[in-house]
Amino acid sequence: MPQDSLLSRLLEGRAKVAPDLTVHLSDRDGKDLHDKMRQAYWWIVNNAILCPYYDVEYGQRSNLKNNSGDEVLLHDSMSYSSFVLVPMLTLFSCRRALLIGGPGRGKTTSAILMALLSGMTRDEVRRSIQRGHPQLTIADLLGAPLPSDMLKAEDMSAIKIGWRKWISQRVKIIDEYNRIPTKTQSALLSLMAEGYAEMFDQYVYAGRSSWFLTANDDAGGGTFQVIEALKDRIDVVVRAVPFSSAFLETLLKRIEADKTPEELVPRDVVFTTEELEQIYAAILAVELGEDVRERLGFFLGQLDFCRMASPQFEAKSKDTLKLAGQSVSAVCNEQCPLDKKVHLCTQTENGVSARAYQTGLHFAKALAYFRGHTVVELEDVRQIVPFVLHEKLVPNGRSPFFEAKGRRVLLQDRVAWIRHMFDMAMEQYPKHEPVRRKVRALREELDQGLEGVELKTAQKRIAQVTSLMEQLMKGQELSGPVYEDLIHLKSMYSRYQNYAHWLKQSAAR
Amino acid sequence: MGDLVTELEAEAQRRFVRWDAHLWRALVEGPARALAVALKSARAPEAHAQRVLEAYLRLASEGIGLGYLFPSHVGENVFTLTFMSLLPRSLPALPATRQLQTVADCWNLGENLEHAPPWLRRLFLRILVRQDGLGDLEALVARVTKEAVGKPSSTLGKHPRIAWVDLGAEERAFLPGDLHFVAPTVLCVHERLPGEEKATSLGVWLADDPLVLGPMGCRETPGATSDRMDLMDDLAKREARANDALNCSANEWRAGVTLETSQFVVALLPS
Repeated sequence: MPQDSLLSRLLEGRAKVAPDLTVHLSDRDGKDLHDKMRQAYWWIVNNAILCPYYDVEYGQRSNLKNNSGDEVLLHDSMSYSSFVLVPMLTLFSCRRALLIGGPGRGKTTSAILMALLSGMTRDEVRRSIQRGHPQLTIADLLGAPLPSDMLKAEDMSAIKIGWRKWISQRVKIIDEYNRIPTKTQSALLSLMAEGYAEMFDQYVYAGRSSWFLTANDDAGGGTFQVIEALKDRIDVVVRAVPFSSAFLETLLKRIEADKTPEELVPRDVVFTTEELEQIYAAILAVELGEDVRERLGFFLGQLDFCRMASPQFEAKSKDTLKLAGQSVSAVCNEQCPLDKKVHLCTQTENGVSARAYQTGLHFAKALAYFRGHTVVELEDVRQIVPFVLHEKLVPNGRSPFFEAKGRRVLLQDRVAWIRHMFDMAMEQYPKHEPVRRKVRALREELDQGLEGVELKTAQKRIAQVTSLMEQLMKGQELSGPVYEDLIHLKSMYSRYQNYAHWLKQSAAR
Repeated sequence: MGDLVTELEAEAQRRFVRWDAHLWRALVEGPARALAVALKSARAPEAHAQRVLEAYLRLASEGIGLGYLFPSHVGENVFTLTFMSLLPRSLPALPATRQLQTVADCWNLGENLEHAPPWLRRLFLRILVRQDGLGDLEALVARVTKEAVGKPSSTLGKHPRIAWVDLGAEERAFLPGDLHFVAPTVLCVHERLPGEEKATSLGVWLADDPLVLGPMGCRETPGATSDRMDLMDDLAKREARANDALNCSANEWRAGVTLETSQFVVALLPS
């Protein structure tokens, strides 16, 4: 805002003397929404969830070590607790979170708090929670046709469906989703994945919403196996944290006051629908620069590569193995010349989908916005990616990488493992970046379009692409990042070749 | 007053995350009580006094809830100055017709400044500290606005007036280094420290009688500027103490010079 404009309005504001001679204070506008988000976060951490585990950390770090090798890292900037932060980012970015952990760890409370922050009343929240149990039917979950219509109707369009109210609410909570029968899970899937449910040719739409699912144990401990597609629709996984006895006094006070945290949410941190929409739009508008994007791509892009998957160049991916019923652990052996201590491809059984890329980008933006920034930093990505990939990446437990001292423990903690992989990738990136820059330059040239490009120019560019491919093939071992570049270069080569071929044919006509 | 205090406190506890009950109690028992007594002494009609007190308490509770008002040991801003000190002291002396509007004006000024650049907050704070009352707040804001942000009417000229500004009086160990203008008459002086992260910055309003504004929290890194060699030469000729100029920043209307071996900044003003 220009200074003179600001100054001309210094005495104008929310406080006004009303005709009845009272001073009236109008509501605040939405310019401090990320501040409000942070207030909500701190209120939950200090009053509701009581979480002393600060694991999303920023700034320079120092460490404290003992003789047994245990280590405590201390960061000199803001730190947050993922158990509260990630559900909040889910709420504001309208994504889907799974909260996992043992009973009584605050998973459902956390989800309820998110619903309360979105402006739902306690009664609305209580009524809208879908509790998973083995007898939950599709009708229980979605609603049912009205019985009177069923008797009278002559065609399906005359049957009115009594849809359950929770479907159209902004925050949806599915408690213990792994206790829902498989058939009902499928109905839930279409609602989560497509945003609508169908019954008797009638549809109900979920609208823009945030989903919170809870599970005591996501590794098969539920009553029913969760269908893969449903799991895949979960954007982010948050682990509940154990209660810290340091907060025992607060628990005692709660008992004595006979109040639950849900009853005490201050109005000041409850968001209106308009505010939620503003935040949603503002998160999307957060900038994610080329360098951060390239680095994230460098990390994720190499995970799908498996040199041993196929003799055909284009099929050297873990998907090829999966379709053949094979696993990475079966082929990732000494016959593959890549150093298993260095290359990330050995560590995972799978790669990540385009959906996971999108989720990672969206959450990184949400985190940057939460921190009051307009641009995503690499550290935002580093902090959030492990929660996004938590259930999406399956470790190859038989990889020689995990046999080295101190690495086995990474298999027990996916957040630590994925962050470790990310750090490894970032260490490798500067070495590979010059190649990426060359590939990017060629791509940018192609992206300018082929209209008006002469045959001679196209052939010159084919030669440039081929030359770079040759350099890569001869000068570097075929690793995940090199494979990505080669695939990229080959696609450019094919486009130029097709174009040159078309030009030649046109000239001959 | 008791019922209102209880009602506002209960309401605020439900609404605000950072509600500070201790500060509220201190405000009720200190400045609010003083205001109530002063209004009574000024023989304001009871209903009117009640309205003024209610407006004051209502806005103060909102201010505490939003973190605009904080305890004195944390620091001071325009909010704390007006609500803790200026309003209770000067409101009863104002004409009754102006009292409610002045409470509203103080709120608006304080809240707007919370979103304004730091130098402007500091400027208003330093000016309001010198005020005895809030008699003509509107005129004061208009004057400061014009003088601090608007383009001054006189340019610097060839032989400007020299004023010495002691930054050591503001911060004992402050050694002035690079400097830059953040507004036509507001200078930001950075501390000369090799470890830049710890370096602070102080503001100076180059009014006719220069006013040190205090810490600016400036994150800019102004480079060394010495494009006005003529000013520095002229200064060295006129002031024997100013022969070791370190850095100079100038615009059309004002200039500031830091020296190698001094905690003073030399302000150059139109003569």
